[in-house]
Amino acid sequence: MANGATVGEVQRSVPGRFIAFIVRWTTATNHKDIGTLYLCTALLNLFIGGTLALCIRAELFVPGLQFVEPNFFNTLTTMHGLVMLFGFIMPVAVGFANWLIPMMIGAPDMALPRLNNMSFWLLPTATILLISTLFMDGGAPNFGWTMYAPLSTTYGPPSTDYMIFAVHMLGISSIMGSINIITTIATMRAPGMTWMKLPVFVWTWLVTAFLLIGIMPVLAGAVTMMLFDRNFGTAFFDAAGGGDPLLFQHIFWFFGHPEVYVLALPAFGIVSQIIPTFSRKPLFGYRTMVMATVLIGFLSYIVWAHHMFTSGMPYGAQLYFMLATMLIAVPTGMKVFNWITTMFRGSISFETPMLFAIAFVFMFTFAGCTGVMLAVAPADFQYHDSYFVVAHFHYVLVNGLTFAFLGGAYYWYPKFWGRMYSERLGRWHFWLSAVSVNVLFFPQHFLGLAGMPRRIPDYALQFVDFNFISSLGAFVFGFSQLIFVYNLITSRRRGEPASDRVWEGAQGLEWTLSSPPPHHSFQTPPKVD
Amino acid sequence: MTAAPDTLPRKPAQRPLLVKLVAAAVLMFGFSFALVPLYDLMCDALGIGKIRAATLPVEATVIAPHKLAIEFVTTNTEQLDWSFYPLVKSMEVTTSETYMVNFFARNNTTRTMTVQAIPSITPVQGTDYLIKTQCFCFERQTLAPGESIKMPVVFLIDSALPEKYATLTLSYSLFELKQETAASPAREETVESLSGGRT
Repeated sequence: MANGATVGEVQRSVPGRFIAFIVRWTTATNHKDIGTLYLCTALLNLFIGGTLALCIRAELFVPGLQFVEPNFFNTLTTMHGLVMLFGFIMPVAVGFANWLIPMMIGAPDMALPRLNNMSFWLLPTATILLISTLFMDGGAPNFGWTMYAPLSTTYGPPSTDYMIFAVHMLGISSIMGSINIITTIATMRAPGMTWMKLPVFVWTWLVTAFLLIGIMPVLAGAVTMMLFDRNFGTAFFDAAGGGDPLLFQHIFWFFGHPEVYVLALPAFGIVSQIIPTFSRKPLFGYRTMVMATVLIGFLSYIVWAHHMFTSGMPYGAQLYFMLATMLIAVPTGMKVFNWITTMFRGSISFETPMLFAIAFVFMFTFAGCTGVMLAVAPADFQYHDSYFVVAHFHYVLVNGLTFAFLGGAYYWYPKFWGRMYSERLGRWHFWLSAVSVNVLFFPQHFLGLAGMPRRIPDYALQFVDFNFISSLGAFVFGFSQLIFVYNLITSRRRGEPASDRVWEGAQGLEWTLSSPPPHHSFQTPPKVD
Repeated sequence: MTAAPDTLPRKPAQRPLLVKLVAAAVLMFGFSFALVPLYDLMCDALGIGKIRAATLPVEATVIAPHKLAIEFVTTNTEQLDWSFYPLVKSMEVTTSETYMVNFFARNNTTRTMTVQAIPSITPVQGTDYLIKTQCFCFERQTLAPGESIKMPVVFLIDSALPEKYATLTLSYSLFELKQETAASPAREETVESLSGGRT
């Protein structure tokens, strides 16, 4: 990285070098620089969001109120959700997209490099604005990441307006990033790189980008209406003025459910790259994989109200949303079968990326099963707003997607930096994480089934044991991630030099470039057969 | 697009695609606001939150009037320091006959305030049968500090009201209108009554 940008940085004083460093990164337009910035920001936010999560688990270690006030507990859950969602898991996917898409399709860079710079720099600005609400009078937003009106309108703290602006900025950032990605994929493919030859990761990101363009403006609309209700006397969500609080839930989940697949699809893409490499077989069912991706993208738009079964929908609507939701299990199941069949009779080796990918397949499938349970409307009346829901979506987002992204980080680390990571530390990181994350989230299923509600700082005595186990897992999982960071930093200098292909079974254009790749990935377009 | 160095190969035309994508994003932003009226239309079409008048038996014959009790209750929204109560708590009425009752309101605060009352009827099935020909809820009330007012309601009950509803309760909630422009996206009957009140 940075081959071209460091020119002229020869003999400078310390402040001079510092200014050069700032200018170099704030004006970066290279897709690898932007990708690195996204990945580093995501990693930082992972630790901020993780610290908030550990505060939550510390409070729930034993019953009673130990460390935090109930209101502050609510701000913890809210900020944890917002930071992890908008600050970690979305940027990490965009970071991989920026790094990989040009290299995978044989392009020199992204289509719109300056737009890329702007869409990145909105992200830390918005994240700082969001996190600054924690230090404001009246406290940070405390109504949950779902921002249900009227909790967020009539009863929200003053800092809510800052959160709204942060969400606006994040939305603009995502939309610009998506426009860039679609334009890159549509116009910058190497000669011969037809649509049905695109790597699955590129396909998943294409669908993700279309999802983002469809939903981020809707979220922006929802928070704009919140802003108007709060400050300009409108009554979109206020029954007293003829509005309807339930309308907020519909608009929010119209954004919220496709959002789940915005996060999941890039992870599917990463796993679809890793598994063939270490199975030493081409991906099984490429066409069905692409079809399933598009189908999931489409279905995700028409199932949103399964988040609101208990809001008093008509029977017919419940039936429809229940069946449509279950339908998503079909394309998702196709993907799982394809991954398993790719591994079947393959010559598998278990390097760290493969370990994470297999753990992803296993735990994401489990999360999908609890998802089908939640999709059953009558059962959902029992599970709704309980720890079962918390366990379900953390299995999706942490045990599933985060594992896929960690696997991706190990998989492409040698390509990005030209050095091998420490395999020994990678395995330590994997096994500690894989065990502790299940200790952390598996007991929460039982808590939920036994009736423990989510978003509460205290609980009844029958929930003591499982909460205690869960908190133990949380601390082990949280601190295990430091191994990852240590591995990333030390291997950057001390790691073995990586070959261009890095992995014996690696297929795809990015592996034909040097490790690390040149500043402009493909100066001349490669030939694709 | 000019940011790419000269050495790079020329890219195919991107502008038409860009325009389409930006238009799609703007369109979806508009769609989120279109969801507001769409939501009402859906609720009306599916009969959610409203009694479905069409499903009630249609009877062509003239229905004989009957008697029932009607009660009046009032609610102030929180932090609204007004006295607001009906001068008659309840009365016996005959359907198809017109009655007038008065409500009393006084502004106990030290500033001039504008309020509006929002009616509701319990049980909700009675809503379509209680016909108000004149009501203070059609208009805003502006009172100076300490000022009071007597506000009339003229109504009749449709004889088609099933007799099993022996008592109807007419309830008013009093809301402060924070700004003169507070009309905004108020929907259904509120918006009609507000515009009706102005003309």
